[in-house]
Amino acid sequence: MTDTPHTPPPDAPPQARPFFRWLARIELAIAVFFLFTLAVGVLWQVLGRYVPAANWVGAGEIARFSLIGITFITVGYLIGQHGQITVAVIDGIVKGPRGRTVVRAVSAILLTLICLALTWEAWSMVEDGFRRVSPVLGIPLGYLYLLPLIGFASGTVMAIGRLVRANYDEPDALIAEEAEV
Amino acid sequence: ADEGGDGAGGDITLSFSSSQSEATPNYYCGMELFKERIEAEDLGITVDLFPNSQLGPDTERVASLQSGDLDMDLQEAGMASVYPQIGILGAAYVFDDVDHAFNWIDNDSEEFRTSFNEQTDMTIIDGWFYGNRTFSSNEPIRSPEDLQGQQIRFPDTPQYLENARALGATPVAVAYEEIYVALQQGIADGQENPVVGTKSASYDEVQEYVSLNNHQVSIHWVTLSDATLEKMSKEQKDAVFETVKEIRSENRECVEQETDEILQDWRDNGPLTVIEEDEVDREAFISQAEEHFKNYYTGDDLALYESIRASAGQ
Amino acid sequence: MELLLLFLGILVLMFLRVPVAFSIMGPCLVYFMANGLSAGMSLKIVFDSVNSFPLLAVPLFILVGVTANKVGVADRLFEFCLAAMARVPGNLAYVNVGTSVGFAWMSGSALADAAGLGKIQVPAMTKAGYPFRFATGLTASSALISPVMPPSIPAVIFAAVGTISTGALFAASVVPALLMAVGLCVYIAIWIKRHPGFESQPFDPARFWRAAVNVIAPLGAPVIILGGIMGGLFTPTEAAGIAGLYMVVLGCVYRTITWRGMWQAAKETVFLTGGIMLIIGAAGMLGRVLAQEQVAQQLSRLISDFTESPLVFLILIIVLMLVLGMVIDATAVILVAVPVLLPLAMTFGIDPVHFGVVVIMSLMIGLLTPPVGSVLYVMSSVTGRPVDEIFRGIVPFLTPMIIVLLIVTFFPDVVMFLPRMLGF
Ligand code: NA
Ligand code: NA
Repeated sequence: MTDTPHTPPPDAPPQARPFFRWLARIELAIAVFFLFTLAVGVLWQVLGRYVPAANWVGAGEIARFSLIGITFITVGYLIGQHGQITVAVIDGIVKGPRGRTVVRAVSAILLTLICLALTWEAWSMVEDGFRRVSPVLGIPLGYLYLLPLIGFASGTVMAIGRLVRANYDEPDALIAEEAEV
Repeated sequence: ADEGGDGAGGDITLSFSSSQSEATPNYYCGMELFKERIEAEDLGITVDLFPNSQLGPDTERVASLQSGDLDMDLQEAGMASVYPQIGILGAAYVFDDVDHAFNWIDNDSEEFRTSFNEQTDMTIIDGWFYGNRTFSSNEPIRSPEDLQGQQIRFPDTPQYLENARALGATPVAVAYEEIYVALQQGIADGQENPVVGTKSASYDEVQEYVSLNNHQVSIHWVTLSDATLEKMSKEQKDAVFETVKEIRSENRECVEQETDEILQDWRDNGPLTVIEEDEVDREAFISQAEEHFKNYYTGDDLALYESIRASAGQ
Repeated sequence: MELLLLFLGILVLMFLRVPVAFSIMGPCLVYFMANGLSAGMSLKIVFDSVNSFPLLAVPLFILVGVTANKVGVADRLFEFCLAAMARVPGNLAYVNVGTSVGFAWMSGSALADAAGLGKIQVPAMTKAGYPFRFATGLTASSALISPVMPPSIPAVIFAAVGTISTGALFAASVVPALLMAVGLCVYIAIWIKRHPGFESQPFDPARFWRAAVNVIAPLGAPVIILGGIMGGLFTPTEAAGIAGLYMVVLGCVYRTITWRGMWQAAKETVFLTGGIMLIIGAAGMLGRVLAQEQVAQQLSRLISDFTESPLVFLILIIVLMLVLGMVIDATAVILVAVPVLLPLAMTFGIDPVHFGVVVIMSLMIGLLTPPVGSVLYVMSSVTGRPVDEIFRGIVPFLTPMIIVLLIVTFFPDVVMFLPRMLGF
């Protein structure tokens, strides 16, 4: 990516603002970190069985919570990258560029509303979550519930971003090699 | 929240959930009896039963009780997530036997239950007997020495792992869903569960011995959401409390009968070899566990543990 | 009535291109609010659905598949099969299947297979004179061996949802996966008969041994996965972690994986994991609605009124799964439908493990068909050709796949003898 300004071809969307790109990068970095802790947690559990000194009950819980982390922290990123699994049957029905823009706009509005509702749900969860601790490590669950809160808040922002760019054709990314950060 | 009830008392539907399957005595001889009897009282109470973790795993159902999304529940494991001290009631040999546990609940538990209620917005109605936890293993277990070096799967909560250490076993972490494979392939040498639990999860297919060392009187607590309590009239409340208490002894008989039947089948037809209660050095287990926990617990926890131990044999 | 509206809402949202996970969660949220569930509770269901140890195998097996690609395992397998079968006419086509079988022992998803092997196999075959449609159709359908052969992500999810033994389901899937390969080979043999002119090459022992040596280490992954589970070193979930570690070590030894490559692999893994896991969570939410409404009980009454024959029941299930697999992601179908259908299958006297294999195979065929056919889309993106052309190439291959599915359905022993033999 260069800083040289150039006129984009008419069917290519404009570049995302730096804020969005940085948000996506941070979320991705956190998700990769969770993947690392997930793998370490699982391997640790195996190791602990054979090396008593390394036996630590928290390993399994760390791995499970890492998976939860990946699930929620990637919500916004995946919406921004068109990486959520989507049914594309309507593409075969609505063919014109105007019609497609309308479909994308309607879809983005609905997605925004659902993300907003989920953000509010996540907020209620955080508020209530400090009354309970995790079974093994005793971590107050409120901290863990911050993950969905961040994920769906970012998802809302990214969904609005999709609405703004509704007149550009952006294919669904199926494999990450095509997804650029 | 024990008073409640002004202006309340219309028709009410209670959702009553558990992680137990329909095949366990706590369901067919507990939850179902409750539904039958409370509905027959004609107080406007209807009960919907949700066994099999249909309304979520233990910890999630506790959260649902707190928020009033669920009315009634039967479980043990998830309650420590809102009130860690409840774990002590599951310490190895803290109760001598079921009678001791029931006596403690009836005569000495008031302070504990009040404090539980203040912190959690849930009310403990009573405890039902789930079974005495026993070891199943590939090598016979008769005394603490036999446990040395054996990798036994315990649920991975701090209290259960401490039970393992108190008894002299090496706890091995295996997720609940993978216990069967782990036992079969020798990743774990044994596991601990009430006889009914060992049978219903088919662990007997992949183990050699069951040892009736009865290291833990497993009590599943019948709890009620305070939000629900507020919606009930005094009459309804009393009926619910009385019915749960009344079922307790019948339920225990069912559990004991089912346990005996399974054990008899094992004795007659295998595949497990039963190490009978009198073949187990119970005194050695108890004294080792008591010594361990007296060093392990501190402060309020120690006080609770010692008060329960002190009530033994009364 | 409420349920009808709920499903209608989900379908409309999906149709309007709202991502599947959100199409499910949106209407469920409305349902929960309408039924007075407190705020935050419904999202907790999503949270708890994802909080499961066996599900850890999903990202780990994805990681194995993705790294196997980056490490160059796919190229090595391809070269080995080609060297071994140099003299067979139509060898490239058989090699396509053989490579997929080899890859299937490492990867748990069809996407990794299609993405990894598609890039090598389709160009190689078209260069050798095979029609494009034949090459893509074969590559796409042989990719389905991956999610059936252990390790299998759908099997891991099925076992977790149905609380049956993952090891038993893995063992039960081996023969059906091999049958899929045989079915495709029979189809190739018939096709080659009708399209003569695919020359064989002389067998070159030096090339064969070189290729064989190169493939030994990558084939260590399946040995580790299955050997470790059977030998009592670790559980199936843990095996996924060990295999991931092994792939990374292999990449370091071969020097084919750089820090950048590792970052790429991790990125791809979280990308795919995030997409799948949110659907798993959403399916948990829908599952709770179905539990609350006691749908399973009603559905079982309906079906048991309709038929008493286990075979008719299984046919109904296959049709249902093929249809659902066309429009919904396979994982989501397993999560939503299995808790309802498995207890029902058991009342018909069907072994849950056999049922699992039938359900998984039916759903995998749906990966090849529009509108929701992930393999179809991946093939389209790796070859750069439009989806409808890819699909035309796939259509003839549906016949052998469905024949194998019917064999597996009607002859349970084909599925069950291996797990029985292994003592599950
Ligand atoms: Na292939
Ligand atoms: Na596989």
